[in-house]
Amino acid sequence: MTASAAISGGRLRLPATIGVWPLLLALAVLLFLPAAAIIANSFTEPQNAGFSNFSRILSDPTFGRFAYNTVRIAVVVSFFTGLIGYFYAYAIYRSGPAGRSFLMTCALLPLWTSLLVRSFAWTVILRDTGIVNWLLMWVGIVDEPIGMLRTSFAVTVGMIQILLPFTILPIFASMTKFDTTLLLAARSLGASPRRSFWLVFFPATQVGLVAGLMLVFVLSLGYYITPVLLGGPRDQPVAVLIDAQVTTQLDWGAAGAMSAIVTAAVLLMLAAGWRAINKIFLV
Amino acid sequence: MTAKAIKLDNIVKAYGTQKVLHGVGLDVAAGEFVSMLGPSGSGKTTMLKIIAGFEDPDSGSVSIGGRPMTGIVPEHRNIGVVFQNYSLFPHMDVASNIGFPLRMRGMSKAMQKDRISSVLSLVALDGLGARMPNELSGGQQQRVAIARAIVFEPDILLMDEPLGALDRRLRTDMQLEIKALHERLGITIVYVTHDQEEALSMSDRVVVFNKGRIEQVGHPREVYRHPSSLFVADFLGDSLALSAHINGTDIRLPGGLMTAGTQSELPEGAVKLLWRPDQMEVAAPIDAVTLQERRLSVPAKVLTAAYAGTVLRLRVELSTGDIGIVAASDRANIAAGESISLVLDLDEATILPLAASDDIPGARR
Amino acid sequence: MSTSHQESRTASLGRLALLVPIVILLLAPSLVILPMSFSESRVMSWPPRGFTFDWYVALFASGQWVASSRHSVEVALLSTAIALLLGVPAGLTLGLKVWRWRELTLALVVVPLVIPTVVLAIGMYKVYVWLGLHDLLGLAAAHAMIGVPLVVITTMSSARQINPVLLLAARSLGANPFKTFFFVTLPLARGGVISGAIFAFVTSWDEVVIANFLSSPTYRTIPVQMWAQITERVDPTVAAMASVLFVVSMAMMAGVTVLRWSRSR
Repeated sequence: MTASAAISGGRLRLPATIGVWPLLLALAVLLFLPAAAIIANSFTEPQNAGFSNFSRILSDPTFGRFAYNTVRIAVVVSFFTGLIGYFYAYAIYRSGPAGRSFLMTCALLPLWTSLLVRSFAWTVILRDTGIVNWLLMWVGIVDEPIGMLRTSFAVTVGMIQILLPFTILPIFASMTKFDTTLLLAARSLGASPRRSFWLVFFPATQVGLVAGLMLVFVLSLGYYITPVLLGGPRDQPVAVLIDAQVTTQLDWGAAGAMSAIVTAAVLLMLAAGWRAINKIFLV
Repeated sequence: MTAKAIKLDNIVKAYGTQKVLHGVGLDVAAGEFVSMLGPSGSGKTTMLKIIAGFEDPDSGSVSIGGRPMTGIVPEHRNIGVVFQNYSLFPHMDVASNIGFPLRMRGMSKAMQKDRISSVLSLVALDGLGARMPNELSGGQQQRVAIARAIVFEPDILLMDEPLGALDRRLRTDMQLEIKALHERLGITIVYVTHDQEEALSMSDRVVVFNKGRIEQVGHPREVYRHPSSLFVADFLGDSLALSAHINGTDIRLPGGLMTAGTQSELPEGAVKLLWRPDQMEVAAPIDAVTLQERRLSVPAKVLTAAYAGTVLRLRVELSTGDIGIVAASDRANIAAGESISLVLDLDEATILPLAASDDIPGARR
Repeated sequence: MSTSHQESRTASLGRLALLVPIVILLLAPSLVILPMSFSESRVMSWPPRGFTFDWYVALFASGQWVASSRHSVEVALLSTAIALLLGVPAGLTLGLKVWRWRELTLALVVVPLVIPTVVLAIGMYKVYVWLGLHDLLGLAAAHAMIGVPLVVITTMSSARQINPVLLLAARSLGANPFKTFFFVTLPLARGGVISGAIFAFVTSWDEVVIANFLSSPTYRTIPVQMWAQITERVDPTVAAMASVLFVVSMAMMAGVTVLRWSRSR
């Protein structure tokens, strides 16, 4: 692991990057090969399929509808997690030590609770006999329970809650790196507090926001559990369709083509946001 | 301890296309204290890394005590290294830090304990074995680092700017302590620094590095008084250099022509005559350069005057256009902008050839 | 700051008013599960009625739940071990060394985090059969692959805090590369390794989608069992199970917090 990895007497020298090779090998066989195999199905199921699977699913309105659902949910969820996340991170940043650790704990708690448990919990909260409807009727705003479960609203709220830490944490990280004397400098140069926030503070912390948004968008493209448990028929993403192709339709070619499209989209987004993600999470 | 000699033979090292050492050769005698002095990027630290075995030379060889080191990994070289920022293991207490090399050598716990306590008292840190490094002051951490580097009785001790992180006062104290330790242990020490005062005050010999080459090797007095180049002259301290021209034994000066005196082996062509601050006298202003009995008086203008304790450090521009540093008594009360003159004794001047690549002394300050 | 007291007070009150609903949003799912699991009502309606341990009793009496708990622990432990074995050397290398392909390597390691799990699940379902990996081995291998990026990232960020000169110092003091690794590098990266291990464990412990494809009727994990139950017929046993999971996660989070707190002192 040290500068020149040499064994006894300096005769046998291992390459300096030996530490990453076992991992890359394992990932290649156990993760990239499976992903490649399913994508390869799009060309090999049925035999000599060529691009027929792609043209088939791209002209299929069902796929179009599911793809639209996926992107719509991802955009809405990213927008709200970005907005709420920035505000919340700023609140943590401006709080005293006690407030800071309380707010930080609240932000981290969801990360530690199982995704399945949280999605399940939202079904309990939002159902007709759940706490929200009980509260609304108790206050007298409504007489009848409103159907919230299996709606876009439920998926959106559930996914915002689940993905919020992914914007809060990088934004907060970029705020802690901010040099506060810059704000004093801006003020001394004649900027109002509001202007110095937007002209100095916000641009400096933008990288955290971009990293968080990218991550949320990419992650929400692949979400499966939350939409299935909370969403209605109009909220089901491509991930669900892919699953259905394999488990009920037994159409491996279509599943492969859809997987190829989703994976390509995710990798493109990751590449687009790589600089910000690398700067915030991987430094 | 057994002191060993070091032999560096024509060492070449490049990082990619950038050559950092161009064939460096040097012999260090057993028990000698040698300083490698030079600006950052001059190759001195790379040289130290090559001796320690952290880097391999592209060509050339290192031998220690007559044994060639080629292909021998650092842990088998038996060399103590003291690093710039102490480099104590933060997860180990002082005793474990010092015991680390003994543990690596498979020494028994009881013997380790003896050695650790004796070396702790050697560096005046008795009873601090259970402290963690971050509970110590900078000076104490440096002592622990030194103790750790000598506890296993290494053949040689390498020190890489060991006092760089300490404040000035502590640095002078530690210089004396290291010197005393050297005399007591008799170990061979190679000491890397960019601080010329440190190099001059501590070493038996000073090796001046510049751009990957050794510029001069010698006793501190020799390199200070008789620098072999303008670079060495400038790097080792304040000076004033006067442009002149040599033709045979004639020296053409701004004020006239005269014959060379005590200096042997005169270069030809453009030269610089160099004086250290203590070899010049500051006198009342005059109108023009005068030459009288091998003494030259030159009008000068004070550019800046800085109080430096017992002396006033003056940066002056001569009427000839040369710029340099002279020292005046702090009672002289000279201010920037004033006119003065300098009296220079030609027989005390060091005559240096003016190579095209040399920077002009004083210009850096 | 020169802002008047009045102004900053209204600003902070406004901030507080917006903050409360966000905090409720963040905490709500974690807070409703426990009360529901003690409710006597079978349909899980609010407010909970009465107080009973029946669902927990049913849970621990059920052979299926007990078996899936055992399987979950096995898979999580084995996958964490694999993730550490592969991820720690990689994280240390990425944190301490700079080489030409470093960023590409990092990208390859991060990619598993973002590829939709459904795609991975179907691919693994297909390929692991050829490789002869199923049940414990298959699940552990799959979970190790999605947990290992977290181990790499946390270990790497710890390793970046290590002064590389310390490793040279160890060598000059007589430690060979292996001793340097075990006595210096690894202890100094300990914090990152431990957090990575916990993340990897939790990742496996929670994972449903891949586990759904790779498990067999005789080898199910808790999330698979729960998923089956939720999508068929929900009763408070699921809430009890969810509560158990929640309490385990909270204990882990508390453990990490205490660890971090004691280390920072």
